[in-house]
Amino acid sequence: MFENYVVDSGYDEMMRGADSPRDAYVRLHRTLADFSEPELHTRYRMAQSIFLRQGITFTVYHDERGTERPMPFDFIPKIIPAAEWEHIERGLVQRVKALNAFLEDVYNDQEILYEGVVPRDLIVTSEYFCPQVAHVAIPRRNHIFMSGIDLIRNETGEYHVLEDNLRNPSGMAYVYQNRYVMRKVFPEFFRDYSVRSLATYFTDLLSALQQLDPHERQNPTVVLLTPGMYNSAYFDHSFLAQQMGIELVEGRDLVVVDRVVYMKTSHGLQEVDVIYRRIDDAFLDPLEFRSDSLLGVPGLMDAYRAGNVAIANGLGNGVADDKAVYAYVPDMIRYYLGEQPILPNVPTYHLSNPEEREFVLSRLPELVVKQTDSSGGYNMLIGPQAQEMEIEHFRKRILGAPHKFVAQPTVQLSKVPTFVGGGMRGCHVDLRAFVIQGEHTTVFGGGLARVAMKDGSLIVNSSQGGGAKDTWVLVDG
Amino acid sequence: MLSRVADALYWMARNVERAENDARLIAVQLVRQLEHAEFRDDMGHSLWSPLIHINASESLFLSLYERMDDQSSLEFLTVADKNPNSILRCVSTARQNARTMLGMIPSELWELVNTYYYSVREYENETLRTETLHRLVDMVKSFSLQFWGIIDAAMSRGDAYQFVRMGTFLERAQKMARIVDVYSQGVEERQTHQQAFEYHHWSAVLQSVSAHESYVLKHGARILPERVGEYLLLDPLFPRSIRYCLEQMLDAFLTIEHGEVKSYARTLHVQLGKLCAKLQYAEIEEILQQDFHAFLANIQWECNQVGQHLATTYYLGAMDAE
Amino acid sequence: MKYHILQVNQYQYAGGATESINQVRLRPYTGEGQACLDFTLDLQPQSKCAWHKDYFGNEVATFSIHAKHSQLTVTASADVDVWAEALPTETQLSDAMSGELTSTEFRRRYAEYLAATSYTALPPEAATAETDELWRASRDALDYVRRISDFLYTEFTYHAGVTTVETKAEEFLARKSGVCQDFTHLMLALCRVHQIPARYVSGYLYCGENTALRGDAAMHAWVEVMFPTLGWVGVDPTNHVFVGSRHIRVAVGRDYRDIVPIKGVYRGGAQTLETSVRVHALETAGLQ
Repeated sequence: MFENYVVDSGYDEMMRGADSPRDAYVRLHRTLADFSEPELHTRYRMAQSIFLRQGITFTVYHDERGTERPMPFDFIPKIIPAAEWEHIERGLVQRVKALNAFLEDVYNDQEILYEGVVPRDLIVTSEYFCPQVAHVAIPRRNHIFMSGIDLIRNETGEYHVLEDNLRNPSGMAYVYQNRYVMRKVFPEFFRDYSVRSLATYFTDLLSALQQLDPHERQNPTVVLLTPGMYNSAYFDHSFLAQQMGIELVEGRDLVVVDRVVYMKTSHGLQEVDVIYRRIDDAFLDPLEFRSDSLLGVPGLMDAYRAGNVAIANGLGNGVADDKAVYAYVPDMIRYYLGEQPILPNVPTYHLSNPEEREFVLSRLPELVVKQTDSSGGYNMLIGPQAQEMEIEHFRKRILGAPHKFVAQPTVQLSKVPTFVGGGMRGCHVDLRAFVIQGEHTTVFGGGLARVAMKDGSLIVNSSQGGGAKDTWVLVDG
Repeated sequence: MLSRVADALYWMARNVERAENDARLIAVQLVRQLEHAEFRDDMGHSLWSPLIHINASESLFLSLYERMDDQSSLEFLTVADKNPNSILRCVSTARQNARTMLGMIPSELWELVNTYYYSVREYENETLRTETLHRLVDMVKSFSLQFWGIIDAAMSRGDAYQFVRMGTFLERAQKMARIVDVYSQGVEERQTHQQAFEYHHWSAVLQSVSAHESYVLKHGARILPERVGEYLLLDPLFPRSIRYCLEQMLDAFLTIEHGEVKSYARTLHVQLGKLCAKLQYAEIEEILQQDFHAFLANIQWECNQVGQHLATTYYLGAMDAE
Repeated sequence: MKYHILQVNQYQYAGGATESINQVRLRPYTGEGQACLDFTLDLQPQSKCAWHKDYFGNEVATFSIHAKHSQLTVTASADVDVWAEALPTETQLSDAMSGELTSTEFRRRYAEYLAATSYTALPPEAATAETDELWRASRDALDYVRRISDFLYTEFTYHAGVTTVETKAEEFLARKSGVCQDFTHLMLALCRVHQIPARYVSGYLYCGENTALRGDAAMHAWVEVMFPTLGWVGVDPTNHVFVGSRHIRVAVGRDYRDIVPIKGVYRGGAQTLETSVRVHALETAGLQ
């Protein structure tokens, strides 16, 4: 399969050269050699049909019929040797700890802001800043029950953090489904490997949620609050609820009476202790946030304030994962933990700073410019791939509202061979790693490797044609 | 259990059952159409009109189609998106219901209903010829059997299971009353070839509800209207008889209430109990002497009442109603 | 100055309301220049209030009524002592004060009150077109505030009923007539454009015999601007005065959204609201 494979610029995670796989991939490379192209095609179709049958699809927005497509998928896994993973794990735990301390600080005394380590204006004027939760004593001071940290590898293979997702990171269900499909359709691949199992993490997830119960009951009622089946991440929600054995509820299933949250059951009201919500802050409670929200629960915020219910993830986490705040995370690590960051950031320029702005504007064709309050790969300028017109358009937008933009050098993302168009081609990947914070902080042993399947594309988001790969963390070697 | 989930379970089951009944009726009409050409209505009326009548959707039909011919009737009954009782819509609703409660039902059940939906959708663009219809009907029946197979083998006998039973049996009882009602009215209108007609007519009805074989085992190959009526309405053992269905409903209800009916559930209990008793002690001769149509209409009305009390007792659909 | 305030809000629901939950910001502030001596919040139908202090320091009551009701009456009555004095008109900023006002540290400290909100956002050209000349003519930032207040008072008309609680500063700027809320939002915008921290204040105005004053029939609104050393300075653009002991403060925030006196969510049909406000002076000595 690798006869015509090209190892060009950038770091190839599998291949050192045209015919020499890296150590962790040697065995897989050998197995793959036994497969013919038609056989791979057949297997690929089998995998797709499993996704469709299980309803593992995402809804294509802006489509009246609500078309559902199966998640694009690729069967060459991203393999992470044990030692490499151990390093990533330490870095992630450190990062999430600091981010949690930051959120606790921002919504209480704001020391880091008054000391000027992080510019106070950047935080308190952020659209995600949530005054409603200031000084609320939140259970265990745990703001980030689950986070999704996006990692990339640069030209030399070194891991960097690209983005923190501290609000409602999705994708964990896909990790399980990718593994399930891989085991079923490509069992041969696993023959020579000992891959870390994903089976035990639901226990960690559930106990982390149960520990948040403000009443510290023996067996608290935990629910997952979803916007409903039309949400693009609904599969994720239902899968997690099912695997944890908790109730999957919608806003209309809940009611607040005397500052206590209840769910409406066929036999009356039942008190709810912990809510794992997958609804955005703005829609949680029409009384205190967007009054036009039909998804939320009126009075929920007040019940939370009264200490009668735990909400995970915490409200207002968006102030810590915005693209402009990202640049300060290494400073947070130093400030709160007194440690040096284990996983580096990608260098980031703030366009609100006049010197940095001037530098960036003079080098637009080389840089990536991102709007700080956008996600999903939208509102981005990728300098080296942009037309002159697009660059000029962005220049105007930057000058109009410089504080809304940051810029980064274009990182040549690492590649992993991917089966496209009947052959193997190196495609750019990133890795979303999940961190679960309970009494202990656990890094989910694997993650969602997202791959840009369009030729040469750097955008891995599923909303823009990205696909997924299974991620193998090796138990040994 | 969340009342929204109870509602979804109940309606998922009702819709799967409804799709199956639709399919069975189509199957029987197909057979009759081939074997008994003399019963084809030469007034130009479609043989499918009783089916449309069974779902009480004539006015909807007439608002959608200019005339009742084979193609329009069949499209209406099978894949029409605008007919809430078409097979496609029933299956699609059942799928929507299932989807809102992934995790509450066995994942095999979700996969089945999901696959079911895609399989029916494949008929959307097909010309509805006899052999296509046979395939469709077989498929629907087979999915229904698998549906119950999974529920029987993989679903815990808690409240979720009981709500599925209630949905299924209420739908089945109500549909049975309607089928018998519609077909018995058909008989009164035709006087010629009385005996032969009755034989074929009632055996078709038996077939449509999968009762033919078990009826013959019980009564021999003598298809008598009163015995057929008795079998379909009052038989204690035939799993689609109205009596059997209502007894199952009552049993599901008492299981949810752990045999101990509290005040909020009293009305439902009384309603169901009376209805069961009525069928348990009824005699077919007595029913036939009186107004048969009125009897069946009353059963349907009572079933409707049970459905409504079920909704208020367990807060089903309460949120959508507001 | 001691006042007694009585505010009655009566909601009627067509076809009745259920599952109603509400938040009230009506308790007058206690702190610099003012103390709330007594406060009662009476609810009909009766309901229990839960109190908390919000991010901006306002006292907030939350209550709910689940049973069906066709009418809700919220009556707030308060005794308040106000001893704040209006800033002398001739006050000037020292160079040190002006310097501190423009420092990064000061701007960050009051960043909430410098950023545009949905109510106060103006297109940059619009804001500077209106204020450039005034800004150039001003001796210092405080003088600018005074001139802005004068500008609003003279160029804009106080006219009830042409705007709503949803009206944005930009719309008021074009229309040039509205009520105290609109004057306040536009003033916030014009101060913030020139980097002067400014916040929204809701409260009551005691007019007494002074018929020239506008805004005692309902709740009133004005602006507070922050200057080094001086602290928060109250300015009422609707009446073009520095705020003294006739103004009774209830709540502060970035704009109207943060101080909404009563808001709620319920199931049911349309609602109508009647509000009455009465401010009595219990003593009049020292009234400016």
